[in-house]
Amino acid sequence: MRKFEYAMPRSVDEVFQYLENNAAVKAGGIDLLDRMKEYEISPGRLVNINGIEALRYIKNGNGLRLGPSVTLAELAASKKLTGAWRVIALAAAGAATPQIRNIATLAGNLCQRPRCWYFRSADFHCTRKGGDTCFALDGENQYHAIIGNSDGCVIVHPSAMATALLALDAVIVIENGKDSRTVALADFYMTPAQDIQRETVLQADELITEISVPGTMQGWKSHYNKLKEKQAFDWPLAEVAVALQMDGKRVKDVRVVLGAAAPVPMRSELAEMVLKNSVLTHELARTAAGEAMENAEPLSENGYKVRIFKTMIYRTLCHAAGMDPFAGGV
Amino acid sequence: MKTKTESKCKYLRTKMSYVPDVDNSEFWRSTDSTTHAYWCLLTMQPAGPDDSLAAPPECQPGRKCYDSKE
Amino acid sequence: MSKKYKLKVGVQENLRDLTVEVNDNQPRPWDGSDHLKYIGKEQTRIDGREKVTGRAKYTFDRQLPGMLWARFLRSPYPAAVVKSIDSSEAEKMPGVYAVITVAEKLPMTIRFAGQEILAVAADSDCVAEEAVRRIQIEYDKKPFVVSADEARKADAPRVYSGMNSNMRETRIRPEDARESDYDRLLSGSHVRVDQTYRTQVQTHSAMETHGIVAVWEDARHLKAWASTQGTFAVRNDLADYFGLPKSNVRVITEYMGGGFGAKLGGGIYYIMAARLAKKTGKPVRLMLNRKEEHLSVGNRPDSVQHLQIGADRNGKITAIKLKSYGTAGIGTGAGTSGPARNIYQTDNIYVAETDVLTNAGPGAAFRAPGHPQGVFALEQAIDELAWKLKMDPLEFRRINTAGDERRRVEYRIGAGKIGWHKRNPKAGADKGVIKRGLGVANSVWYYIYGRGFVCSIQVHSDGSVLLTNGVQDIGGGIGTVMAMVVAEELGLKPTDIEVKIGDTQYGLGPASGGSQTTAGITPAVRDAAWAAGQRVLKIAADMMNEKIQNLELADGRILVKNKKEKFITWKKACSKIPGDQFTVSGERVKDNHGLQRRTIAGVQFADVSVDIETGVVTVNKIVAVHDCGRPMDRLTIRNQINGGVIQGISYALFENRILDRNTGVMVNANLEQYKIAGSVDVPQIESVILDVNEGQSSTGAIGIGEPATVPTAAAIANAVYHAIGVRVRELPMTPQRILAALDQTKGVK
Repeated sequence: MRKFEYAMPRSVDEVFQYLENNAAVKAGGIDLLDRMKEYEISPGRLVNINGIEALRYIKNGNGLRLGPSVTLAELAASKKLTGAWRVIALAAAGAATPQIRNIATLAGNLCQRPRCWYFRSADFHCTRKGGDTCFALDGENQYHAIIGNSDGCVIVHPSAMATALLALDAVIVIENGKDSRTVALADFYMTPAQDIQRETVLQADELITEISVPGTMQGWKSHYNKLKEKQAFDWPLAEVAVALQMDGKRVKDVRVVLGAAAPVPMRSELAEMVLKNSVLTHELARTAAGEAMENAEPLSENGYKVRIFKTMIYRTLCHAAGMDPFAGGV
Repeated sequence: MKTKTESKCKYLRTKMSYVPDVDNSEFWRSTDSTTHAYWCLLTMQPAGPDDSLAAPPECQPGRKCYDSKE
Repeated sequence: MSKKYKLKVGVQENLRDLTVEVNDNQPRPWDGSDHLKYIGKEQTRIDGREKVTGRAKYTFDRQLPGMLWARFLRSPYPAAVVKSIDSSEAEKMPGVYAVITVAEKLPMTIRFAGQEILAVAADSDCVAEEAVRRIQIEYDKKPFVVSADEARKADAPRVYSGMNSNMRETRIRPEDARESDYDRLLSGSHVRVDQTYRTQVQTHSAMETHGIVAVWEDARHLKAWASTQGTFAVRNDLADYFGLPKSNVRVITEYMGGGFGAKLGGGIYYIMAARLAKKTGKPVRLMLNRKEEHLSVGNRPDSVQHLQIGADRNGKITAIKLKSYGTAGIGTGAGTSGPARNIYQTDNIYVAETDVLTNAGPGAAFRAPGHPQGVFALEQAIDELAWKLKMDPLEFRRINTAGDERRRVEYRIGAGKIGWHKRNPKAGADKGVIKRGLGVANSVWYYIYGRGFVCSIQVHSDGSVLLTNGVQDIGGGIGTVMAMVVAEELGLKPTDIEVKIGDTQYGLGPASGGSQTTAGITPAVRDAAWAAGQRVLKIAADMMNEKIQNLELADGRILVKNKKEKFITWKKACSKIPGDQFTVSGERVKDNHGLQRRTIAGVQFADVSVDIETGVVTVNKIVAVHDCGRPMDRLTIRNQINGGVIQGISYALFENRILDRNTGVMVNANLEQYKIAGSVDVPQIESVILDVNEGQSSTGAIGIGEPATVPTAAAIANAVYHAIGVRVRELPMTPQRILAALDQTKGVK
C-alpha cells in the first residue's frame, strides 16, 4: 500500500474541497483497504466521511430516506424497515460478519467493486483494470456471471443492498458541491458493454448523499434470501430479493431481483411476467423461477448456479407471500 | 522402489529431523515414509544448490553438492 | 539402579496388572489406580489472561530499537528463469538499507508462482514494500504444469529439468509384494469396492504468519524470535547454515499463533532475515503476509486414491489395495497410505504411492500428514463395503478392529451419544428437500516421542517454584500442562508454578510435530518435580523428626501419612533450603516398556443435513471420542479436539487452494476467497476423552493434536451418503459437487 494523506471533513460541503488530486472517499473502508493493499487503487488522499453525522439516518414517512453512511448493522436492526422495506433489513443482516456490518455503510456497499478474484489480485491485469484479457472467461469461473456475461467481463455485482433496493425502485441522490442529481438505482449501475472499467455512473468528484425509496409501495410484502457455500462470511452464489403486491391470492405487481447473477444487479422481467396477474401457487413460483433462468448462459464451471437460482427464486417468492416453500414438494 | 534408500548428506532435512524417534533418531534418512517433505539446508528449498530435487534417493554420493555427515 | 512397580493398566476401568522397572531417580509411573487432584481434570490456561488482554507478545509483535522491516520479491510466474535483476532504483530510495538475492548467481530457476527471488530491508514496512515494486526483473518464461493429472502425462513440461518424468518412483509396500497376488484375493472376495477418491490442496492458514526477528549480538552470536513449532530446530538450522556453534544461537518463541506442521524448521525467511541483519548490522523483522502464507510455506498435498477392498460373507476384510498419487508441488510427501495400513486387521494390504511434481508451492507436514486424505478414502470405501454387505457400517468396523479394546469402547460411547441405533437403516430415505444423515469414521495416528528433553526446577527459600524448558507452546497449552504436573507432584496449585518456556537457553524440549509434545516433555517435568519433592521432603523429615517415606506432599503442606493433623507447610520447609535455593532436573528417557499398540485410535460421528435443491451441507453435530494415553488437562485436550474437528469440517466443505489453470497463479490467496469455516459453520461438538493407562512413562501421556482432525471429513462424507443415498468422493463437498453427484444418479435412474 502506498502512503496517502488523510482528511476528516466535518460537513458535506467540506468533503468536496478535499475531493481532488486522486482522492478517494472512505466510509467504512472495508473495500477500499483491500484494494489499496493489492495496489488496485493508490489514492493520494483518503477523505474519511465517517465523522459526518448528517449522512447517517433512517427516516420514514410516505417514503423512506436513508443516509449513505448508515451502517449495515443499523439497517439490520431498524424497526422502521417493515412491510416492503423489510427486504432492506434482511439484506443488511445477511451481509459479511457482525464486525464488518458495524462499520460498513450503505453507500459503501452499493459502490464496492467486484469480488472477482482476478480483478482483486495484483497478479492479473484484466479487462476491468484496462487489460485485454478476461481471465475468468476460460479460467476459474465457478463464482462468476451466468447472465450478461458476453461483454468481455464476467463479474457478478457484489452489493446485497443494491439487490434489495432495486426491488423497491430506489433512487440515488448524488452531489458534487455545485450540483445535485438523482439517478434511479437501475440506471446507477453500468454493464461491461456500457463501460468495462466502471460499475456505476458515480464520478470521482461526486458523493452519494441520500438513497431514497418512493412511498408508492406501501402495502407490498418483501423478502430477501441468499445462498452461500459457507454460512459465516462468504459471498453469495445466488441472492434474490422479491417485492410483492397481492390482491387476494392474485399477484397484482411484483419485483424479482437477482444478485450474484450478472455484472449488474438485475430485475428478472421474465419471472415478473409469469407472476403478474396470476394466482400465486407453489407451482407458479416454480414456473417463474424456471422462466427467470431462461436467458442464463453459464460459463464452463458455473452451470450449477442456474439450479441454485431456480431454488432461491422459488423459495424467496414463497417467503415473500408467506407460503412454506418446503410444503410444495420437490 | 524395491529397497529403502538412505541418504547421509549432512544438508538434507525433513520435519522428522527434529522429531526424532526414540529408538533411532536417524530413521528419517531412509525413504520409509511417503509423507515427508524434504529440503536442503543450503537453499532451504526442495531443490538443492545444483537445482535438482533434494530427497534421500536423490541425495547420494556422487552428486556435486553431496557432503557426508560423517 | 532401578526399581520394580506393579501397575494397574488398561482402558477406562478395565485394568490389569503390569510390572515395570524404572530408574531410581524416577517416581512410580501414574497408573489406573491413581486418582489425581489436577491431572485428568480441567485446568484453565495459566497464560490465558495475558492472551486475552493482548499482553502476550508474539513474534509478530516484536519490535526492537533500530529494527528494519524486510520484504520478499516473489516470482509472479510458475516457471521461468531469472535472467537479470536491476535493483538500482530501489537501493537509491531513502530508508532502504539492503537488497539481497536468494541465489548466489544468475540465472535462477523459478518453479512456482510465489517463489522467493530477493529480499529488501528498509526502515519501514511501507518503504520495503515500495522498494520491492521498483525492482526490475527480466524473466524468461517457461511452460508449466500445475495439476497432478496433467503433470503425469508424458509430454508435460518438466518441473525439474534433470528428471525424465514429473513422477517420482512409486513406493510399494510390502517391498516385495506382487500386485497380482492382491488382485486375486480381491476378485475372489464375496463383495468388493473399487473406487477412486480425490482430495484437494489445503493450506495451513495459521493465525500468526511465518516469520522471524533476527539480531546479531556480535559477529558470532545470533538471537532470533521466531514463530516456530520447533525452537531447537530453528536454532540448529541457523547454526548449521551460518557455521556457528549451537551455543551461539538463541531462538525464542514466547507465544505462538499456530503452525499445524508448516513451522517445523527450515525456512528461507529465517535465512534471509539473518543475512539481512548481518549485512546491515541491525535487527531485521521478516514476517510474511497472508498471501505469502498461501503461496510459499507449505500445504497439505492433494491426492487421487484408487482403493479396492474386499470382504468375505461374514464381513471380514480379505484384502486392501491402495494406489495413490498426488502433488506436493515442487516437493515431496503426497503419500496417503497410513490409514490403509494401520486401522483394519488383515494381513493382505498392498499400497503403491507416487509423488507427482508440479509447478506449485511445496507441501509441508500438515496436522497428521497423509491421514485426513487417507481416511477420507479408506473410511468411505469401508462404508461402501458395509452397505454392499447390507451390514451396519459400525458393526462392520467392529468386526474388523476386534482386537483393539479402545476402539470397541469408543464405538459404543460414540454410537450412544449420536443416537446411531435410532437412525434410519436406509440411505437417502428422508422425505422432503432437507435430508439428514449420520456417518462414522475411524482415526489413526501413532505414539511418537523423542528423548533427551531436560526440564529444570528451581525451588527457592520463599517456597516459589520455577520450571524451565525450551519447548514452545504451539497453542495447545503445554505450559499449563507442565505446571499441572509440577503442582500435582509437589502438592501445590498450578498457578503457584512459574513456567518459563520457548527459549533455547533452557533445556532441550521437543518440537511440536507428530503430536509428541505432551508425551515427550511431561515425563521429564514429573521426574524433575519428583526430585524437587524428594529434596524438600528430606528437609521436612529432619524438621519433623519423621521418616521420609512416611511423608507426603499435598495442599501446600508436608503431611504425615495417616496422621494428617501433623504437618508443616511447604513454605516453612523451603525456608530451610541450604544456600537459599536448589535446582534439580528431569530427563525424558526411553519408556519403561514398549507398547503393544503404537497407534492412537479415536472415532468421530457426524450428523449432517443436506439441502438437495441447493447442495448445501450443514453439519449439525460431531461426536468425537478419542484416546491419548493418560489425559493430562482435559480442557486443553478438549480444545485440541474442537480445533481438530473445526479444521476437519473446513477441509471437508470449504478449503481449497485454487491455481488458475491458464497462468498457474493462485486466485484465492487470502482469507476471503480461500474459505475457512467460521463461527456459524461450527456445529455442536461433543467430545469424550478415554482414560487409557499404559504406565509406559512417568505420566503415561500420549498425543491428541493430530488424531483429532484425521476422521472428520470422512465421517461427514459418510453422513452425506446416509442423508442423500449418493456418494461424494471428492473434497471439498461444495454445493456444486453435491448437485453434480445428485444429477449423476438421476441420470442413471
